[in-house]
Amino acid sequence: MSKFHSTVTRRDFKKGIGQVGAGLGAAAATAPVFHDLDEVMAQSNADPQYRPWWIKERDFEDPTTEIDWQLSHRADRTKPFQNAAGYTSSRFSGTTSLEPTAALLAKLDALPTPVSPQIRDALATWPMAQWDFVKKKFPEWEGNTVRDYAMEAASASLAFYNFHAYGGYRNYNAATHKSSSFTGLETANTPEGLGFAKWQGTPEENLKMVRGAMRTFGCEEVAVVEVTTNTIKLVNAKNTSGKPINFKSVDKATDVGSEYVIPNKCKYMIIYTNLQPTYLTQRCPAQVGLSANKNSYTRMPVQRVQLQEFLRGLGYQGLQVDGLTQSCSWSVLGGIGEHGREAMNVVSPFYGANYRGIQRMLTDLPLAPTKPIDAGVASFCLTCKKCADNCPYSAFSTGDPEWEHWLEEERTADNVIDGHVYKGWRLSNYRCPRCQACQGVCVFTKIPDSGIHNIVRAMSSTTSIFNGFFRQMDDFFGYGTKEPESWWDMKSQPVWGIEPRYWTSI
Amino acid sequence: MWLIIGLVAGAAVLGLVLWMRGKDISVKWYEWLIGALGLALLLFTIQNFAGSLAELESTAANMFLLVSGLPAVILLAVSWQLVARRQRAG
Repeated sequence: MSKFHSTVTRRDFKKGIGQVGAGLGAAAATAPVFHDLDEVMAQSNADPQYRPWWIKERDFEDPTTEIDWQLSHRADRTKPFQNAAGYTSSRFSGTTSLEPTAALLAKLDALPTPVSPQIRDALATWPMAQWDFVKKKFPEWEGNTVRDYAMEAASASLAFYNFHAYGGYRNYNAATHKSSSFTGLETANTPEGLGFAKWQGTPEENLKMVRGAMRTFGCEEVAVVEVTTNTIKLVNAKNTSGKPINFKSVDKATDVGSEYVIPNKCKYMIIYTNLQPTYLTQRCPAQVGLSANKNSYTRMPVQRVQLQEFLRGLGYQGLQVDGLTQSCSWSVLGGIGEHGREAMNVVSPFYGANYRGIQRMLTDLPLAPTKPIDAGVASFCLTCKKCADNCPYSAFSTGDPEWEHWLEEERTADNVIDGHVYKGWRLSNYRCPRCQACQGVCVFTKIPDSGIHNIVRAMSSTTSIFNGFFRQMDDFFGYGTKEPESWWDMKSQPVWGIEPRYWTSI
Repeated sequence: MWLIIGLVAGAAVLGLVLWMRGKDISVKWYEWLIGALGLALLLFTIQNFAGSLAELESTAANMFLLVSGLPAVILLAVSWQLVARRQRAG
């Protein structure tokens, strides 16, 4: 017998074969199954709507959240809707004291329209809730500093800037002519004006084209949902001022004093995303962290104008409907993410709860609709509850998805938008001041460097048996809120605040 | 980086195999398996340790050294000792 080979008995050989077979069987339980070469080829960034193998697509209008389309109806936003956001920033209270409660309450009591007692009670605890939350995690933290307040104020200074109130770029519109955000600045040359024919492309080509433009304008993902007899119910019937929103068989959209008119042919809803600054979100709810969403709100008006003008340049209409619709429902239907316990934030399998201001625009440019996804997010939320555990204001449900709001005071006041038509989670609008602490701690909010994250995503997408273990490990490994002052000590804050590896990983 | 790690690991394994042949050292299939698992776990640890540092998650980086790095070292040591002790006995 050659001395180069170890002998293997027949018994050992058969035992080895059996063990290898058992191992292969176990591996197959979590391995991707490709049915043909097209599926293999689709697993790359070249696909306009990149989906790794562990993200499954569902049928149109059938997300992981159950919806009663029969019960759903177009919302009347003139109904008063009370929420704590807007009353909690230092710019409202005008004070930076560690105990600004008295000053904040004085301002609330002086408002011409008083806030609800529920909000007043919630806000009475707000400043100390923020302090207590951060101090408990980081005892050495000495509180918000003047530069933290300056950062938040600067980030907010151009948030939601209304280009249309000031005549737009280069004053194509006279100083007294205010354009409509609904129909746009209308500064781009139309194809006819340049001597071109209107752009023609297949819906798939058009989606890829729009995605390319929006990535350049700073948007990570683009989804499309077609307006149907069901999804039209997600377009409000009236805006907050009582102005009706009507679909009609006309050629051009109009925004006149009495109504918004949407042509029936403008039936493709473009949903485009906007990440929050990565490392700032991890510092919420401290003051410097609160600048995270404001930075996104600053970029959003620019992106919506750019998309509108791009569509106009192609020869199509772009109707800005952010104020006429709600973001999460369209995002979920389009496959940006899933509805989870975060409720007011769609949870992306790639970016977690780090999206801010997912915008919507209707167009008549033919676009290929994108399907809802199942990436195991909603099922992970059932057991995880990390967002709820890290909310300073007890604004989260800790139970299972329900058809109604979990809080009696919200149910009684019907303080919800279309709140009875989906089986899911809801936040307390009275208590949630939009502190964003939940977004920073979501288990799916991860920077894409460690390989373990995709392993966890793939496994939780395939089976839920390890979800509880993954949540425990997320805590054990120290993921979540970071010490606020340490943001200023970073060697290098990323440009736009967003970790660039997010943009290159998809 | 991973190209270099792959080249180094591949060269190390090849070198080890050739050296063992020269010394007439035999390795059972399960000793190969334990060693391969240990090496895979070591590479997993390196990737996640470096990735966690890049993510500015220093706690996670240290946890990876403990949770997967230590078992990797143990598996590699077990594989080595199984071979070594069988050689001494045989």
